[in-house]
Amino acid sequence: MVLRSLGAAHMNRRDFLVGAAAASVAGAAFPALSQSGFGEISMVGWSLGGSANGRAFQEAATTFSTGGTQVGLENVPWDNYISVVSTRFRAGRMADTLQLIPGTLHDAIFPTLRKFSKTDYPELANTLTLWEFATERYDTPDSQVGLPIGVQGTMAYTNKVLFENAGLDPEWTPATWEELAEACEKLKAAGITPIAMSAGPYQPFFMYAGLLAQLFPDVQDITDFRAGRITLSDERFLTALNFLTDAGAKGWFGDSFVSRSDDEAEAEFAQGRAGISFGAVAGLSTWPVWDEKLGAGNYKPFLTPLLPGGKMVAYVTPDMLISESGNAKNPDGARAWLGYLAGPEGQKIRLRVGGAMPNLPDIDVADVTGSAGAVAVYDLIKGTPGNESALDFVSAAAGNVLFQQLGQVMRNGGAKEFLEALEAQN
Amino acid sequence: MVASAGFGQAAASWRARSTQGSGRASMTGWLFVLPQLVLVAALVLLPLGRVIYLSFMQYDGFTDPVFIGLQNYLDLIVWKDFQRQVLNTFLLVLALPLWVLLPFTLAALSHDHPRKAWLRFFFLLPGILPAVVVGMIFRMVLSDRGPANELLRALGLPGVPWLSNDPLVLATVALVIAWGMMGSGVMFYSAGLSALPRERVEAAILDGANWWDLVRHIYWPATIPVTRFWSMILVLATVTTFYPWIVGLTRGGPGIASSTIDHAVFLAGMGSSRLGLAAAMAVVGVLAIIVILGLVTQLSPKERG
Repeated sequence: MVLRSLGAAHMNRRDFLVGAAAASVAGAAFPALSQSGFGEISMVGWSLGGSANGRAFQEAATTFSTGGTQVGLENVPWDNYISVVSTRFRAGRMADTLQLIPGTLHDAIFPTLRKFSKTDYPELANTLTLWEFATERYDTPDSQVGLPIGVQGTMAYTNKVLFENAGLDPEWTPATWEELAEACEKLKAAGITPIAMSAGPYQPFFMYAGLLAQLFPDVQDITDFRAGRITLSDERFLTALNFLTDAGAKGWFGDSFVSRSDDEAEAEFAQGRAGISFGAVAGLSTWPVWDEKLGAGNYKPFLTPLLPGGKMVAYVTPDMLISESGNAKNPDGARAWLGYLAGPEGQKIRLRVGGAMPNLPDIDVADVTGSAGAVAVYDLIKGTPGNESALDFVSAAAGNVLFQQLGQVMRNGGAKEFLEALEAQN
Repeated sequence: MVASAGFGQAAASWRARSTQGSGRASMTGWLFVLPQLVLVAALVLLPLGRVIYLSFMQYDGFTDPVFIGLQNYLDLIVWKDFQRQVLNTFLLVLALPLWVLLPFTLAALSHDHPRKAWLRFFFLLPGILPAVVVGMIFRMVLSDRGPANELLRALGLPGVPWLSNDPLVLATVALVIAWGMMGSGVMFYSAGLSALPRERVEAAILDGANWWDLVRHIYWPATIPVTRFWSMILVLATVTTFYPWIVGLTRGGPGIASSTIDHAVFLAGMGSSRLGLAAAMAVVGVLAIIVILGLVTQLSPKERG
């Protein structure tokens, strides 16, 4: 997702020229793509720089360019993304295509985009999943603001070696909150930090989001929330948060997690100092990192353990939306580029280079990645219903407050007051 | 009578010439300052006016601004997070004596040192690094499992929650900023001390003054204008430009324990697309500067008659 790309560099002129040269060589090898071209198109996003995800986009752009269409990628740091895009929009210099986060985080940008129907992409209409998370509003199913690509969401991982050291079966993963409690207490007793956690912005959010998906499992819940029929005063928000503050009080996250960044928490798990990580499907604290740092086969993915009274639904969203600007200078090229990125070729490149899980069926993940961990993650996602509830319950403003303060609440408590303050921002 | 009439005529003629000349001079003066006035209007007054205008609007940067009166300000008044961010800003200003005295002391120590050029270069080094980088370095050094705490533990002492304890984190921020800003302060004070007449110091030494006497009775009074200027710069920086330190060191955390007004403006404006609210926060920041500067001016040392 967004998480690895923060502060990544812009694609420079040299990269662009190298890409163009590679494209002209590749053109001979891909005659089908070479038959037509759309000139030049541009894309702006936070995930187009030197990160793994950014390199995937660059490779996709290079391959796509063999059809005669040059794609200029411009990376903008995540923290400045909305302000940069709004400035470009006001100046009439919006790129042809752009990256967006589903849910409410980027919905201020939606009015500037071209709306379309699934049928505008007939080859993807019935294969691509998560379309419903790329609509203008949740109750406007045929008004797409972007193509959903990739899968993102909460994914937990165990360190099998540390599990064994704590007297736990290394092949076992906790399926319920009670089982998670049992695992955490055994890890603690063995002198191991049970769960690698940060002060935020993302790791506490991923854990909370995993719990919220179970307590708000239905599409109707999300629709009700967006319509104002469910607010943050709903008991379920407090219930889920109380599980986290309780975990913090029991020391499952170690003593000092509120001073840790997401990267530092990731490093704690990667260096074998914590038994469990609540990371993401892609981007942060995820299988490509564990393959490299822990070794393939030394970790095991699992979904957020089921809360009492919860329903086994995973927190799943598209990795991102890729959208066309409402005043794109090259609309045909933009649509061709977006279709390529969301199609099998584009998604395989993103999986291989960027570790992004595809939202297409029948992708041979083992063949593309050679990773048993990746296959396990893909199978878990495919075998479990998912929703994106946590991205819809807070506005962008409240989301920032949530990201900033959730970790602190998990340590110090005050969940009820926190949710009231959050509701005031919504 | 004739003489009197002649004098009156002469006086009237002089007045007319004088008024005419004054008008020309006045016009010439205005023409000289016109470019600067245009620049000030374009670069200061217009943006400031725009910020004040937006503070009364609901504005996301994409759709047209909608006038909402004082609503942004009313929201800020009741928003506990913003109250805390304002409080944090004022608390940080309490570190002003440290930020002033540290560079003054270093400048005084190095003033007559034979290798003062090298010393000043050494003191300036922290200022060469970008604030966000210094913040990130100290974040690593001071984290709970960082080198500073590991050293303390190796010595049998407990670790210190430099960055994870509220309110200790604000003191940590103040100390790191003191280190980072030290070089600029040393330069200002060294320049002030260099302007000090050499005879005055020599006369004091002949009268038996030691180093402490020199500092108290000569160096400090002589650099009071520098102190006032440097204090003003620091106050402005606290409200408007400490954001990179906060981002690099704590990202405003834990929670919002170290978040300041400029950090709040960034979060609202850049992260949440609430430009109207961010503008209102910025206006509050300007008011905070006026209040703090007023207090600092009252409390800062006065120049001797």
